[in-house]
Amino acid sequence: MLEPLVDEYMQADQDDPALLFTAAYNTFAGPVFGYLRARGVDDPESVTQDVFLALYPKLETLSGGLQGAKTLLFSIAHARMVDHYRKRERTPDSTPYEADLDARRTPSAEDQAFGRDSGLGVTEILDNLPDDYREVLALRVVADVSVEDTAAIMGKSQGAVKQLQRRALSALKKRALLRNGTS
Amino acid sequence: MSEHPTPRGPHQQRAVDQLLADSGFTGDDELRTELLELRSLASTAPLPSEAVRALMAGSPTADTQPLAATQPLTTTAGPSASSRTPTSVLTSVPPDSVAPDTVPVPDSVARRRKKRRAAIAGLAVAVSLAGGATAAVASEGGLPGAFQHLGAAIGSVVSQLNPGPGDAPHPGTPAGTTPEPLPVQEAPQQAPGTVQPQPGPAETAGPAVPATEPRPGVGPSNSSKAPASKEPGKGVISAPPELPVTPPGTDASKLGPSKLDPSKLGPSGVPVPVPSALVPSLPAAKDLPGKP
Repeated sequence: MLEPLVDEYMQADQDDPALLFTAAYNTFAGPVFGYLRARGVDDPESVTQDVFLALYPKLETLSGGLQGAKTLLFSIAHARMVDHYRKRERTPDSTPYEADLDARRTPSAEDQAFGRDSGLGVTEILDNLPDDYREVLALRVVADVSVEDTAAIMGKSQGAVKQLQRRALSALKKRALLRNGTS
Repeated sequence: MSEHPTPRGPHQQRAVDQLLADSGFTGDDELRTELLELRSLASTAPLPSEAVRALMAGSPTADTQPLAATQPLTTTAGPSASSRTPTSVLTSVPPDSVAPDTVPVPDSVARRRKKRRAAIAGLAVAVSLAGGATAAVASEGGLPGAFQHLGAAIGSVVSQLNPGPGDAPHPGTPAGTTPEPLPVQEAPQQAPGTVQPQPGPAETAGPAVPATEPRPGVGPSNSSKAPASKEPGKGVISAPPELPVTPPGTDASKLGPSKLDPSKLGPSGVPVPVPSALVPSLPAAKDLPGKP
């Protein structure tokens, strides 16, 4: 949900694409980056920059101010994520570097803050969930996209998105219970 | 690329609570914790790259609002959001930003500048040519003089580029007239290494006597031929040096059947050694043993 201040500001300055672009970056760079991380995209930082660079040419024809920019941004990010997985399917399998198995590694401050050194990282919460569940959780929780926009991005109806969200949360709860029981 | 975390406030907790309530999981602390952890992924934003920064700083409005450049905008109830002023939006890059000269220029502007530069260069060349032509007209005293000067200049350039058989017009010759060819000394071409037959005693002495070879640069034939063939651009192509095909001291033209008559050839003055005793003499018969 956007702050009324931002909405008011963007209503007044809709004609300046550079200003809208700057506001969009400052507001949505974090959620876009988090969405791409949650979806397991390689090098999410550079993909985030690409998403914003793809947004800029469309700002002149964009309507809806910052809220419209948000919907468009996550549509672009979703498309980039789909492209990433398609590209990965075409490339041969490679063995990923597993930092947890590397004895030379010491946990960073970020890892310690997020509890990654204890065995489970934030992005690993969504591991082993079906792809639809991961997508709806990434859009609804990480990116804070509304049900309507999530339905538009995923190409589903709002009811289907709500149902999918409920199932995804149930699966996540089971995983949390399982993890707390075993750890 | 570095990242900077954005403050995590009660707005995120409210959003998670609302999501849980919509899905029928109200009061589920375990799930709430998981969702808050997930949501923390969005709290870290990467710094803008150079390209993104150029788009942000490239707008002219960024220069007009310098005070707003350092205040980040957050959607939470942070200090910048509570200021309630439109200038709280970040309109340019954070402190470790680009220098003004490193801001990339859009392609259209660069293309326009390049076209303008080419037009200015062409105009400068045309003006300088016109000035040169005017000076030539003034110095030569009229239009014919200018044409003559122009022709001479073109001819000199052509002769420099192509120093072949063509003759370049000289500035002294009038325009429109064919310059007279310079007199070229027609002399038999002869390379310095060509063997010259020696008249006089060599002929009378016969082929057995070796003739002396003339040295290059010595004698009347070499000194008179050299300057004519050394002038460049006169249409005189110097002949390649002839290789000696006859042995030294002999002239092929003079060795023909019409000039050489074997019957007229006399003995040379070289003394020929005559053997004193070719056949040993037989001993006298009376000295032979067994003969009475």
